[in-house]
Amino acid sequence: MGQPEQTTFWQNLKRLPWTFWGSLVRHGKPDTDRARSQTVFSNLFLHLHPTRTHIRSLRFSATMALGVFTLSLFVIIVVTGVLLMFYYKPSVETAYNSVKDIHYVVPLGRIMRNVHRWAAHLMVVAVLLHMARVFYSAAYKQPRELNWLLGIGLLVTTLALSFTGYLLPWDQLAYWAVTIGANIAGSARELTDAFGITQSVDPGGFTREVMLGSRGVGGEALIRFYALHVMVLPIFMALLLGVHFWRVRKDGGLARPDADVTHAGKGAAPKGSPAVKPEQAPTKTYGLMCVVRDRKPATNLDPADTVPSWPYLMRAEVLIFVASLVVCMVLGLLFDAPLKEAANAAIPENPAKAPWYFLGLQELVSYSAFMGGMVIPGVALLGLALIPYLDREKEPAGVYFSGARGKRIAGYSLVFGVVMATLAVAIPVSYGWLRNWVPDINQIWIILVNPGTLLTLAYMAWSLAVLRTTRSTRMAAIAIFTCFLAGFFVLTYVGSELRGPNWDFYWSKSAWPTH
Amino acid sequence: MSERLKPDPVPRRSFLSIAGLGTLALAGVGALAGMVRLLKPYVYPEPMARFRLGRPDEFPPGTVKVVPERSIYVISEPEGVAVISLVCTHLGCIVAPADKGFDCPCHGSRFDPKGRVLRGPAPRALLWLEVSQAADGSLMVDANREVKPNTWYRG
Amino acid sequence: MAQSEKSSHAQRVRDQVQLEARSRDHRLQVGLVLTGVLLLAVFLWTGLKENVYTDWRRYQLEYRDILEKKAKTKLGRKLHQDFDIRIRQVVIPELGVVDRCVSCHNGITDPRMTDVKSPHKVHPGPYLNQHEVGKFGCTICHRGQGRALVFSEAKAVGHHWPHPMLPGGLTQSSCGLCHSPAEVRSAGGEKYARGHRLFGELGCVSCHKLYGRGGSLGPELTREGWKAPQEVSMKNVRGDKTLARWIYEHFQDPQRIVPGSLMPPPRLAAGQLEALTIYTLSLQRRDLPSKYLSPGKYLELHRLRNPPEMTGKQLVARYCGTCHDTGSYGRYDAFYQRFIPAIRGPSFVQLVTPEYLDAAIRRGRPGTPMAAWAGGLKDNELVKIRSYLLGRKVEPGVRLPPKIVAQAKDPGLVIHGDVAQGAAIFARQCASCHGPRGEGRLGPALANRVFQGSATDGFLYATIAYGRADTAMPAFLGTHQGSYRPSQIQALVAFVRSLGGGVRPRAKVASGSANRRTP
Repeated sequence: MGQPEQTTFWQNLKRLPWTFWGSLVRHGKPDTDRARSQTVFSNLFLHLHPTRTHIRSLRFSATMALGVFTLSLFVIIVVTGVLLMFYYKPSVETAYNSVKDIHYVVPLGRIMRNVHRWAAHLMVVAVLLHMARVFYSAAYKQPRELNWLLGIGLLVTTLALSFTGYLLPWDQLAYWAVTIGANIAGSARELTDAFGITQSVDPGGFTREVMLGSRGVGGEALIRFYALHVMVLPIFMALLLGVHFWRVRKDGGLARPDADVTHAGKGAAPKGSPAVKPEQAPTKTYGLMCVVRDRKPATNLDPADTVPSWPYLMRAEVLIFVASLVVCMVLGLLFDAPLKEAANAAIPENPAKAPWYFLGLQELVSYSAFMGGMVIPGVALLGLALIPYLDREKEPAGVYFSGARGKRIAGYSLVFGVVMATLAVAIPVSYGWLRNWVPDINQIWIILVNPGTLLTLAYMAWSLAVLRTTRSTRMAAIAIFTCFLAGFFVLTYVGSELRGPNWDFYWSKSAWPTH
Repeated sequence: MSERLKPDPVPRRSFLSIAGLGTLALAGVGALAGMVRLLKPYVYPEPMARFRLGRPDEFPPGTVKVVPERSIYVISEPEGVAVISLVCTHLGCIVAPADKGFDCPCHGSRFDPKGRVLRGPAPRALLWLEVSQAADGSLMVDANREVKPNTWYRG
Repeated sequence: MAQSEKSSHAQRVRDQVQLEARSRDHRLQVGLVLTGVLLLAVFLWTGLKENVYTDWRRYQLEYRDILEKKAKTKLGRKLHQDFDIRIRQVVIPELGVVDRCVSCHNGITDPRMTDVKSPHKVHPGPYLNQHEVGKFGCTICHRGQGRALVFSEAKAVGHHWPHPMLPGGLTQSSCGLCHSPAEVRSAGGEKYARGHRLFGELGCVSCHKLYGRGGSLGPELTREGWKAPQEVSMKNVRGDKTLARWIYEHFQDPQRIVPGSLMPPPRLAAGQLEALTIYTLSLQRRDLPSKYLSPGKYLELHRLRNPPEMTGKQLVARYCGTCHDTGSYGRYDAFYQRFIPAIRGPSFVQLVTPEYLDAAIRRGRPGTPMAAWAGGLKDNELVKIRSYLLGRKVEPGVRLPPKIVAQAKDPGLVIHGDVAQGAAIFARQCASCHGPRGEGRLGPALANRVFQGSATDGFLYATIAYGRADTAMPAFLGTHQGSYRPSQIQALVAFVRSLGGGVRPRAKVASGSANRRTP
């Protein structure tokens, strides 16, 4: 204790490893609940998590791991994508050959591209499933409306990322898929054409040209798609993701019924009151959050039902990440990402198909580009966005289908949705449509009355019928959501598997005429 | 003070958790190694470093020839054939043949006809490149392989 | 009391939660170890696939052993010592060539590699003496996907690559990229030269254009040999779905490969078939850098684009002769199943006006194999052809009466006759060859707009009355059985004219002879 406070340069130097570590990790070993909480709390990346997690949220059935799965895929895609960027050359002359070289001679290039591709496809699937999970467990309800909207934004961004990436290999598949996609974007022209006002008002042409930077798909489109794909959209996506996760916390963690179902038995605890009163809660480092007088953040409800996020939640997340990586790698090792001939504007692909997740749209577009490409997807997205605002029933969130009645309605709606979508395809395939019946019919009729619009109207009518019968907006929401989901799957299946050259109907690909 | 306020007893790191951490750490190292490996290409998008110079009888003793597209300088003397790189050893400019030797346009290094540094910042003599013969007898130069100055190749 | 009950309930909940979390965590830990091990396995698999189990590595290891066995001389030992295992490639930016074939074909330039297995063998023939691999690469001659490192993908038949590897026998077609046929005729390009000769002999340019010159009945062939497989229909091709195979089978039977094709089957022997396929494959118009082209190729391309002046006779022989032969007689063509007009026939050249010939050559006969030539040949060449045809000397024995000839050349002359009577005679005598509505069968189509627009009434009269010497068209004017009187022939002319729907030659304004009656 001679000169206790006197530290010298040399002592500082000697202590450098420990002081440095101390600045990096600001807590002790995570061997107590408190230390664990601090671990989560004091780490930028971990503090997106609550310090404690409700036991229910840890169960597989609560989330089916879909959110973290999607995030894992996003991380995998970002990492492989950055690596691919080192070799990809975004110009019309070099793009295709650089992808060929990535495939053949870049060390590990082939597996990187394959993983990037399959993870991207999986991500579209995962986002859709995650949305369905959130919807069916009623997790979009107040106060989570905003997060539902953010989720829809993420869905659109995911599709945009997939679509912009589709063009980059600059092969026939990419070129013609994007040509189709761009024409769908420009399909408002169909309506203006029908009214004969395209010369003066041409929103379709405008969107198309803004998207492609030219009349057709060419070098300008390639560089635009590249910039969107590697910079604009990923940054936007990361931002949205951050807010999305932050909202999950601010909205009180995963949606769950208030009086929770713990192993102690349903209703064992008095309804509406936490199992442990806050004043009896263990001393925890709530910090500022204790002072906030609101139900947000709602982390301190029933603390007895919670466990430290570290390690219980973290371990689950790491497991999901590793499992996703394994899945993507195995897919990438077994199946090469497609790469066809170099893009050639003179030789159209037949059939020229958009990426699979747009094939449902392409099926609708085959009836009317404007309705199928703009109005119906627009209505569907708007409908999705409005769901939490139109359905404001106070029901326990976190219960799938909100009970047995919802399950029944979902079942009926599934059958109805599949049948109607099948009819919407089968009738035109077997009997033709307006143009076959009345050859000189005005285009406006074709736009207004086509299988796609009728299908949409049928779904809406069904949902209204459910609303009238059950007098429950939640049930009506389940009905229309299920219908659209069923329609999406049926049309996507038809578009990808049953449509051949000239968009003709074939029962199997082996029946396609050889070119 | 209630007993619940005491920290939870946490079991020591189990074998399982160590095994899990271990495999993951190993996989992480593997993934990192793969990513670094990806950045070092197998082949470059340029003509091969090893290229054919010509038949030996195209270079009788006394020949002095610059091959600009390869940035090399071929000398043939009774001792054999040698190839000197025209890339300056200072910072990689291409030196220009001058009256007696080579001048570097960038920072004024000067070399004698055998590539030795006469003045300027160049740290070492111009590189002598390996000359060899292909199976069909033609002379090959490998721009990636350096030999000691005054190494003459005799077929 | 209630307080403690509640707190003991809380304690129970808490214990339950802890229990569940712990057991869940235990399962997670097991899962983590398992997936971690799986991930390591997948990484190992990737590493092996990337670094060990590759074809080129195996072949290079084999080749190194071969080199060791053959290392008898100092040079041989050095070659073995210097041989390292890595991807090799030939990069030639000006040709757009990136060929990695040499990663497996390591012995391609080593003359000692004659007694070894396939990928290690030396390149056969003397081709590489002039075509150093480092300057030309491999795919410039063999085609195929040079960037690939697996043989099936390098060969690229059915692998989404527009120009798959040529079968060995057809590689000579690539000589034509840089050499004229004459240059390589006796230097390894025999078949290519032979194909070129056949292409000329068969008169392909009568129907096909080459660098903008030639007939327009068939498609232009300037880049026929460099088409992508999707540009043609592979539906009926029996072999590989490649362009080379398509061309080959198409020469065997054009109608099988392209249903409805107008191309007469060339009926070639096997060797000729191969030679013609090779020549067709050589038509690529690749526009290679000029330093790669030989002087002979320069000259050939120059001649194709700026053809030397030819006489009318040469032009007719080259562009018309394929169907019309010398043109001095009419002949029956079994493939088109029709008589081919004698364009230099004695009767024809006496009656025909320059305007008629001009229209026939420039605009052709739509609906028949005679295609329009305007654009396929230069204007002055078409004039030369016309003058050559008209310039035929007519022997005294076949001369027509001067009055008849004069009438035939007068576009203003209108011959009137009984259309109904003409129709009856036409149905009896003419319809079998010319078709009931003049649509043309074995004989020429009379309802044809170009024909109606250029054939004068006098021309029709003379042709029906006096027939065409040396063709299948008989003379109908006469007194014996089966002949007709002039009025009947006038009726026929009127009927034939009625088939044209009002189209007729424009009268010359200067002639002032409109609406004169016939004798």
